[in-house]
Amino acid sequence: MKIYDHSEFGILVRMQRFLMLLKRIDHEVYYLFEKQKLKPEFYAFRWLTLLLSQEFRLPDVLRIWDSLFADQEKNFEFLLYICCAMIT
Amino acid sequence: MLFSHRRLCPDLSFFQQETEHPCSEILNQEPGFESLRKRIVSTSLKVESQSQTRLLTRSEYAYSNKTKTTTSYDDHEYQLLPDGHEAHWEVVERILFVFSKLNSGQSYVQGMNEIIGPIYYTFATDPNLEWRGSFEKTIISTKFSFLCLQNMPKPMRSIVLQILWFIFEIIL
Repeated sequence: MKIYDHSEFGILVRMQRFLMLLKRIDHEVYYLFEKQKLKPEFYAFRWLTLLLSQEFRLPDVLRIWDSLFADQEKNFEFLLYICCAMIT
Repeated sequence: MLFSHRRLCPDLSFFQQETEHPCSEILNQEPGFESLRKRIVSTSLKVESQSQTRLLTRSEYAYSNKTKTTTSYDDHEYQLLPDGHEAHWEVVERILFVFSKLNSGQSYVQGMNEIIGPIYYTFATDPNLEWRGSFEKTIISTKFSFLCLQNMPKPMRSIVLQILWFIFEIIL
């Protein structure tokens, strides 16, 4: 199971991409997190693995998933943007 | 195997309600048929307070508008219904169980319950009653739900296959 973590679709790569997006979108937050050594593993892991299903009420989850699955070809790229929007 | 069929953000009472389309084998209790009720021992973590008010599901909402009554579902959340009846969470439990047995390589991974929840809810509350029933019957409630994918009508098959397999693969 571990080998998947490092694959193109794996969680580690996904978190790295999320971090890069955050850096691009909101410098301040990115550097604040970096200063406090707050890794995405601590807060974004659950967001990315469960597609935010624990963060919102079910009707809202359905709405978000509608957008996420519409974006299927791009490997849930939109999810990274939602996550960024949640922090910034 | 530790196994969960609950949402950690339980905002709907939907999963504790009885399904309109229970598995017929379980309903009829054919001799020699072993249901998950007998195979799985349920334990639950103690939650200090879980008394938030639940939103109503679509069908309930329509109902309560008509009758103007409110019901409380907070007591005995995951109690087993009498023989011949089963709740939605039992159906979800069966899906996860069957999935983990059919995919012994992946087996069950923590969090699958959270993924299957919204999908199941969407299909099981479809505004079209006919689709609602056929989804549960053909995919969920049958003996080996995922093997039955091959016998399903094509449009249905592609949607479910795409979503379910894609999700289960992606979360690993």
